[in-house]
Amino acid sequence: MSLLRDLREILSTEQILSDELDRLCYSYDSSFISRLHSFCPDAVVLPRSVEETAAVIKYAAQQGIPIVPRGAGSGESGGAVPVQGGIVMDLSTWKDVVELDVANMQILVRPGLVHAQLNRLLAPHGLFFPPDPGSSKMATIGGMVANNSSGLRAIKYGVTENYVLGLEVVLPDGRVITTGGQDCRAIKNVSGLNLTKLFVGSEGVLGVITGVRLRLWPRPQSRGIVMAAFPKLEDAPKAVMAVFQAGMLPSGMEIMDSSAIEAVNLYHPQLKLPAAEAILLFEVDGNPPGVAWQVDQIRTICQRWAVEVEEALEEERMTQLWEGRSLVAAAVSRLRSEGTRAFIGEDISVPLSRVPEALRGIKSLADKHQIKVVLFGHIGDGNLHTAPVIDPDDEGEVARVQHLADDIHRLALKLQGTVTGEHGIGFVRSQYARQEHGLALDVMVQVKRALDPLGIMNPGKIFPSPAKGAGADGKGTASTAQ
Amino acid sequence: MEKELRRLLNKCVRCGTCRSECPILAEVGFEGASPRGLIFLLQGLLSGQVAAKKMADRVYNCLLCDACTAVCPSGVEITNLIRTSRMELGRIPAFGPLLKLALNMFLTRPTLVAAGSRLLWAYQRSGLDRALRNTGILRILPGDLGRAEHMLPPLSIRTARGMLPELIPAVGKRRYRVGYFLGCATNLLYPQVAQALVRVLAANGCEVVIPKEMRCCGIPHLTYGLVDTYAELVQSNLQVFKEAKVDAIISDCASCTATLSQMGKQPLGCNADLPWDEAAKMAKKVWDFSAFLVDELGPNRIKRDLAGKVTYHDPCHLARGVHVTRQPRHLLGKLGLELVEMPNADVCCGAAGTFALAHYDLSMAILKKKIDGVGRTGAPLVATSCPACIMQLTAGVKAYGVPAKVIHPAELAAQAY
Repeated sequence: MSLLRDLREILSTEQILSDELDRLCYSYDSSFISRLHSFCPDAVVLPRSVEETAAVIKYAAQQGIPIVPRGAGSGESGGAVPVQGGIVMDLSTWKDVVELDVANMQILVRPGLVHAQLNRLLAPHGLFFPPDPGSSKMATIGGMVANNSSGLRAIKYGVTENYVLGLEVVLPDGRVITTGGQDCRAIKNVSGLNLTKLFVGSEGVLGVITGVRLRLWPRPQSRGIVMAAFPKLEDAPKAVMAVFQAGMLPSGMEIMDSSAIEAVNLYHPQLKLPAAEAILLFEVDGNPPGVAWQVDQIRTICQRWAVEVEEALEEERMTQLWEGRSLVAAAVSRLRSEGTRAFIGEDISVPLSRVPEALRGIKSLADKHQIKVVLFGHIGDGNLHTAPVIDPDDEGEVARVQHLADDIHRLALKLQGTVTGEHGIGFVRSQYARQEHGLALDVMVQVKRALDPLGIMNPGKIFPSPAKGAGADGKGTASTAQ
Repeated sequence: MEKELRRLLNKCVRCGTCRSECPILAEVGFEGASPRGLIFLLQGLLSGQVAAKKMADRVYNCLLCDACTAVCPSGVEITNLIRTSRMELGRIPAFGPLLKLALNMFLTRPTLVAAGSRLLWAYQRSGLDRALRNTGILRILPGDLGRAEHMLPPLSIRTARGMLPELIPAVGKRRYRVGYFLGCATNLLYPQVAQALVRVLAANGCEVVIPKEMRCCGIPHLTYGLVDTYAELVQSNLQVFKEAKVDAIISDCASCTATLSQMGKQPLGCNADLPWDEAAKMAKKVWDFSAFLVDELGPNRIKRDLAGKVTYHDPCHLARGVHVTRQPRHLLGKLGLELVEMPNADVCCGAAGTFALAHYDLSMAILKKKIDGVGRTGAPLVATSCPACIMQLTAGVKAYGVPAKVIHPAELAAQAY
């Protein structure tokens, strides 16, 4: 094949995967859609330098071959799936720390570094990178930047974009730029158009991120967790609002419904979470007296509605509770013997005041479509994760869960929310783009065309194809804004 | 069977949590080498999208270290599925037919095992090993057997079986009658571990039985998908221990301990008609040596304190197979040693049975990380509760120049009695 022969001119043999089985392993991420369809790349490359990345992209641009950047493939929206074939660029093996600048509280890393590893290596320096995705163990920094990921601590610390000082990006024509100033290490910087923010969350449609300069924060000295069990689901949001009204901003505010509680108990039986309609987990951090005071205040507030409140202050218990919540997304598969969790319609975000409506609405939609769903999420910022548990071999359930996802996305828009709070549009949510963005979508398309006139960068993502409309099937066809 | 396999494989939601734990993925980097990739390909195999002949090699690119299974949020039994697929695919790559013969005919018969060991002893004793290494002729051996040959420790002419009587009386008042499951590796390679273990148990009031008819625990057979032979061994060992009327079955080998602890679980794809319930009851009597000493006997009769630093490597089958991690450490502390933890103590050392024989370079790369960690502790002793790990780590400290001795906790405990 000429493609492989040409790639061998650029990269070493072990950096190119051509075997069919190796390529097939890049046809999926955790999105349900990639379970239903097979999108096999023509080749997979594993570049480990800016020069290699740029050379592959230049070649792809000459040939008009799609380039699909990929981190750990832990995304849930098909963002890293090659829906139009082409070359998948697996960046997960390029994970060097280029420079840790402790004095200036920043670090320059390559895209494949895993989130948990980053925070492990920062800990001895008293620093951390605050965003905390549930997929911390596997998600790469490159993937987090491309999706503007966040997770459990966004309520206090914000999302990835709040920490990106600058990016090194290979553009679709092979040019390499540095955003945020070529040599700039300043933390405040309003110089020029903010290209950094343009690339953060661009899901690989504008270029390949090869370097990330992250701002780091001092690691808080202590933390504490309050776990409150509520007999009624709708009382949980009341407790959340009451905590805000009491003048507190916890570092995490998480909700799990009764099924999510069951799933966590199956995954980590030693956690022994109480059975309830809902559990709230509050994490507070800071100096020790402040943490103790907040824990006490939150406990008192929750006791108005909760039947059981636990203060967790031992590190082991806190770690287990947090990890149990972090991995509930996949643990829900344990709830049904012949079932598995389908990652679909899983990431809506609504205004705080509409959270109770959203919770009720999702439950009633699940009843309507006869699909078992588990609810959990970052209730402090209105980002709710719905986890349908289905038998993937049952065609009826597979069809119904797609209708359910469509209804959930529409519900989010009706409640003045968005179809995705942190997972991205990818290949599965572009049909709502027109309704959500109106004319702004046209401007997005213009930006895309300006940077990628050939349409080789991650085609089929973010932008709806003209034919796709706002269909309910969620399957879509290969689409792009070319 | 197919339906059950499909159900188990469907559990994978492809979240990728397993990527964080797989020692092989950490070395090679591409998705197809990850547990998630293997599960995906097995799904393809079942649905006909992936050809069986292309999968035969891939299902052996796994240490079966269970690190992925232990963290899988969805509860996918990754290791079991890979073992089952090995059985289904049938073909063992590299030195397949030879290995199959060895496992089925040879390893199931204790007398043949002993005879083979004597041959190997003669091979080493005669200097033939060095001579052959020097000629480079070992390269003609299948797989990476030739390159891995140096890992075999110097053998003793006598096996543990030959050194120890069938019944060892308790010192003082008899508290327990225990069966010692003398595994193949300890028997052949490390008879001194067996002697040490028996001495410590006897000193703690155990009458120790080492039944002659005892056979291999069956883990090599499970590993290569030979479930029928495995079932035959379970049946045989069950009978042996029933007749021995023991309160507990003690093992110094992590792999034997984990396998025997699961002896009541009928492997997927195994249709042998066995009293699995009875085997499950017997399995409850199985103990790792350190766990039995710490949790059941209470190691209170130690006569002499040891001194110095020690680091401990968790064998996969002990840490994840039977969740024994605390007791060996507790024991080392009780002996007066200062435990210095190595980074990633519970990550596989790369031995994984015969893995190095077919994947020498990969096994050595995984080993190097482990030995780097050992070196960082500065401890002159590395304790671990598995003869295969002892063999691998010993080869590792030698290959990478770390001045540490690898030793079984039973040997250290014996020094204190």
